Amino acid sequence: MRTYVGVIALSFRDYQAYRTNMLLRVVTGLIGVMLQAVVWSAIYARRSVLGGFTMTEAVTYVIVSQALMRATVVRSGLELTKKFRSGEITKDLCLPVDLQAYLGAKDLGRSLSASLFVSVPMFLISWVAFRITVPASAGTWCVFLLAWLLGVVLQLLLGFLAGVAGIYTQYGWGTDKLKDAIVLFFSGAIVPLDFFPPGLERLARALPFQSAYYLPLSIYVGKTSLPQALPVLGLQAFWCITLLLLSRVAWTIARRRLSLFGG
Amino acid sequence: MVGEVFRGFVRGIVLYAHFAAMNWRRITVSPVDFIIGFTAVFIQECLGLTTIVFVMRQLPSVRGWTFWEIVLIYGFFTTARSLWHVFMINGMDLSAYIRLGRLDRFLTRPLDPLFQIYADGWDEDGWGELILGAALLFTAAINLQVNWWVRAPLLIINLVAGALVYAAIILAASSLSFWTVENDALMSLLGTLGTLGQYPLTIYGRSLQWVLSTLVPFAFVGFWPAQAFLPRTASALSYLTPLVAIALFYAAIRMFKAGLSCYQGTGT
Repeated sequence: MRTYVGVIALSFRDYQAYRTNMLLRVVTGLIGVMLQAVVWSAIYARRSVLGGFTMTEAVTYVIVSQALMRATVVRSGLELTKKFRSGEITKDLCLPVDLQAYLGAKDLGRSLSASLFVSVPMFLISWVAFRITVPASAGTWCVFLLAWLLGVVLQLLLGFLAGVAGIYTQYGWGTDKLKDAIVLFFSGAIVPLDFFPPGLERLARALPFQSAYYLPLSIYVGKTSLPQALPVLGLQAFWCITLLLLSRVAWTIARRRLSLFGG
Repeated sequence: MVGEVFRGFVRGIVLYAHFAAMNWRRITVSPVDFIIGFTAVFIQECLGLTTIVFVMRQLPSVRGWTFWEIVLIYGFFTTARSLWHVFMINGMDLSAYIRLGRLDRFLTRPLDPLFQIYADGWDEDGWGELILGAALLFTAAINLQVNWWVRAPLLIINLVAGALVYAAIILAASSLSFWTVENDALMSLLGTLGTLGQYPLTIYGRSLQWVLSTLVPFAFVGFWPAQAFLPRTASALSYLTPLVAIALFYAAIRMFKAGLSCYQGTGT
């Protein structure tokens, strides 16, 4: 356990090594925020409620979503396939660490760093500049942060799974991109699921990806009240456990395949 | 003099054809990953559309723009940017060429280094964007009853001009790496700024409209050239895009040359 905490701390510091890069990330993020604010204000120009969302709710949702998107940095999949291609993986498999946990810890460190130094400034500036709402009670804040954390865990598991899939396609760039696109689409990161056409909405609600953005954000904007939040957290935990088991099985099979190559 | 320019031009085309054949073989080397990556970028590009298709479609108009007009502008921008993405994206990687010493290799050859950078490879993932953009442009034009056959030449000219504007912005910013070496974050910033060009310019505030038309002219990638196909709102600027494109690209080349003249290499 202490090893992984060390890994988290190390990659936390690593990610913020270039201060100007961090600053540019905040600026880039804010451009995305501004675009969302402008587009959604235009949408609500002559109406007050759309898809069950008021303008303030919709704008708050999409802006906080932009900040959350910058907070999760998932590179485990790409790192795994890179190690596979370079053959470096043979060395890693000899180390007394669990490769999935090691890569996950690295991502966790990066994500913590990005959350603190990119997302929080983005959030604070948007709060002042675009007058987004914040949850009224401390309870809502806590439940939101918990739901968001479960969403991050889910994204780490999906990232690793995409990497394992990349070992099968022998390259890995495509599978990682595909995972990103699917997660962003079905998680309601860009548009709340309530605006989806009925068929797609049902599908999105049946899939695990809503955990990453839609579920935490519904808690944030108050679409999910505190008593309703408990089953939501349960659902998120269920998907995390399912994907954890799935990734362990997939990784075990992939590793066996790896040794067949004689790598 | 004219003969010489013409011969140089023909030589460039012949050489580019050789590079092109090689590039095509290179991107199709791993068909499975090419197809997965292609699909991924296709879905990713659809993401930007979700707000338009899921939300704006239900509305009669957004700040005076109808659904199909918005789609036409979005489709035009996507197609123009994808042309840049597929054929000219290398201009963005100048800092990598410098850092890894690959630029030095180009400088030893009797060919223009900028030509070699652009001919050095095509992008794998821009193709999904190209197909999506063309499909959007086509459907929007049918729904807006744009007369295609009369306007086809203008469409192609304006699309190429839009792509050149995008290329010029990226090349100018990329040339800064002759002085700074590292500038990935600036490129990602410009990429995000560029997405502002996907929507009708008039939804933004006046000052931002000016910035997007002059300082970082992403409005000339999609919005202004696309106007030529929206009779309701067409303006002189829509027909001036090719000239703007040539001027901007010329300026970007000058900047590249200026950077190159103080280039010393990084020792790699």
